[in-house]
Amino acid sequence: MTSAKILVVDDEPQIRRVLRTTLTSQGYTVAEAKTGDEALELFRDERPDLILLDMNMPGRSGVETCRELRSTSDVPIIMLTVRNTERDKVHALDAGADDYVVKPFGAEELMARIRAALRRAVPAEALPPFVSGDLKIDFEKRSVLVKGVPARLTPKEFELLHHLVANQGKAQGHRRLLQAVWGPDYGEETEYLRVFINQLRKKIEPDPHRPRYIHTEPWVGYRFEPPTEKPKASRSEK
Amino acid sequence: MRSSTLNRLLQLAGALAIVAFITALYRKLYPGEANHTTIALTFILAILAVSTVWDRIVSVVMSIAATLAFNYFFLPPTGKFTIADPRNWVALITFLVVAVISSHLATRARQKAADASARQREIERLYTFSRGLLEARNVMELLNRVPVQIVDAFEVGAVAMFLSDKQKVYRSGPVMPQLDTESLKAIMAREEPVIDASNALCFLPIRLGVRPVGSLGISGQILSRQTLEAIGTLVAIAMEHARAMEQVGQTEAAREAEKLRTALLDAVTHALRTPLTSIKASVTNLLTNPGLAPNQRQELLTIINEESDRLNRLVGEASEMAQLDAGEVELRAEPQPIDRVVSAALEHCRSSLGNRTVRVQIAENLPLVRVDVHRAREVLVQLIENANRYSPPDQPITITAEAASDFVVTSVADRGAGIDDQEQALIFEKFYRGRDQRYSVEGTGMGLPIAKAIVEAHGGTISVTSQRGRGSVFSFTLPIERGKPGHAEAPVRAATNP
Repeated sequence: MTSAKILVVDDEPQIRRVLRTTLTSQGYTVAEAKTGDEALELFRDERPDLILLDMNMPGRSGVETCRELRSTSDVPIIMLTVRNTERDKVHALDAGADDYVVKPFGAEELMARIRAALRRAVPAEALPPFVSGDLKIDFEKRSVLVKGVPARLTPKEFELLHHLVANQGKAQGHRRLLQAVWGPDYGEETEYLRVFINQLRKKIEPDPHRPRYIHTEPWVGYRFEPPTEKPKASRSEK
Repeated sequence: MRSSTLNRLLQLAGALAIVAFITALYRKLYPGEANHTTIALTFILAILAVSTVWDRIVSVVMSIAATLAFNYFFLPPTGKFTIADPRNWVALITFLVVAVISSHLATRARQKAADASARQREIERLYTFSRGLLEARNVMELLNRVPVQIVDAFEVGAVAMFLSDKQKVYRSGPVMPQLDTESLKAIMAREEPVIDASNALCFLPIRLGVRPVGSLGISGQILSRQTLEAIGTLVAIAMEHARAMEQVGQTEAAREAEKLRTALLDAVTHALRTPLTSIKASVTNLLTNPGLAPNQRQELLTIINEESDRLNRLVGEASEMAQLDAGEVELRAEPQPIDRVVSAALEHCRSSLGNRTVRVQIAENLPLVRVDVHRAREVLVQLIENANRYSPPDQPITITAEAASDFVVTSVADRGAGIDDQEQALIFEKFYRGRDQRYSVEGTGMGLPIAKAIVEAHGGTISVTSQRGRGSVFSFTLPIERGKPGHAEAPVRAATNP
């Protein structure tokens, strides 16, 4: 049994009630917020391990709240929403959510998502630091430097990068990537990859539109490959 | 015709009288010694004056008469039509020519002025006409307006307009047998107006570009060809304009309706999925989690029960709203005192109100209102329950009823958190759920819209005044019964909520 603390943010009192009972029955500790503002406040005081965030709240919306949370924290966030459209999913993931659950959902599904989001990929084999051009990744310290400047990656982004680097030079299929990073229940959510790869590229690529590290393998997936021309053996940091 | 001849004869007599008067004047005042030039100038002045106001023939006759008088009475030898001095011949002929030319010029100037003012009047009428056409808001209105506007603006007797696409004649003024459909149809093929002066009839085709779309027949007055053509062009343009406006309006309305439908669908989806989410999550947890404690099982079952009720209420309210929207609900309105509505509502809310203080202030001797008590009770119950839900339990709720002109106003006041100005306009909208879920707690977002629809079906209005932190007052009006009490009742239609 885990004792992770989960912050439930939803304007519907009945949904908060169900989630509280369901989550506590699974051994989680639960904090509740009725609005986005209340969530931001509670987040500072309670330091939850995960946030379940309703997307359609009056006042400060879930997406806004998510963005706000992401600006200061890489806490796992799962969005809850009644809309099941591609646009909404991308919207939520773009705002920094790690995952997305459509209402109405079953308790098991939600629990699986929560477990996946809480799962920190413990590097099986400690990868040696990766250094190439302007990019420096230290897997032990979980730090990424781009031109000497630290880039802030969310846990899922870091795991995705970790998996790609660990298999560098080899194309990684969508399903494989999803299962490696999100968990065995995933495999069809290619939009997740699209959003996360985009964000990764924005953070580590010099020109996200012409990626040098993370390459798209059409119809297959993605491949990590450092630029080959004029590889710098070593570099000194300023 | 006759009066104009008579008029001309009178003018002629007047002109001759003026000549006689001038002659007599000079003969009497300066017998034999008046200057010929002075006399001639006086005649010419008089002729000029006459020709500016009277007919040309009159001034020509007057010129000749003046010449004869000048010759007979003043040019030597006087008393005879003979002229002794040949120089006087020249003078006399010059006089005649000057008199005729000046009278002719004056008449022409007058004619021009008259023409100009007539044209100006026609332009003014065309302007009035075009303005009248532009005021039409749709094609239907325009088509009915065209004949009326022509009769009004051009002061003609009767107008008939035939439109080929509608195969219909629009008329104004008395029905004239000459303006029959066959003649109007025949005119459509023509390119120019047809003017039948003897019968005071004008016909003109209405053409959009080169395409004839209809025709106009005007009787009672002859309008100039230019005016007729201008009328035809104006009508065609106005029709095209109105048609375009109507199309824009329809597209706009369709787009609005589409937007509303999407918003409604979204709201319904949200409203239905929320209780479903609670139920589904609870049920799946109960099914798959054997480790639930008894109190947790109890909680989940309670939620399922409550949310099923909520779904049921939602479906009921949605169908009631749909019926109200479609106007399918017939009111069983009858003259009743408002007290009956208030007491019925309070009875209904008794258990939910618990120990809360409710003050009822009903003005004395209130007139009866025309009301469906059952429906009005629903409205009041909704307002009382909202007040109960959104204000602290230790604060009183005040229900008042008083007369205001033709209505009885019933109000429910609470001392709750109040509602923002911007939100006040929205809370009567379907599925609107208030900020801070003021109106979503247990709510479906349809209570107030239903109340509004019921009040409006009675011919009343519902409104709210509120201040943040001070509380809210919801009021609705019901019309005072004016007729005989207890007359003609509407038939009973199955009520949605028995």
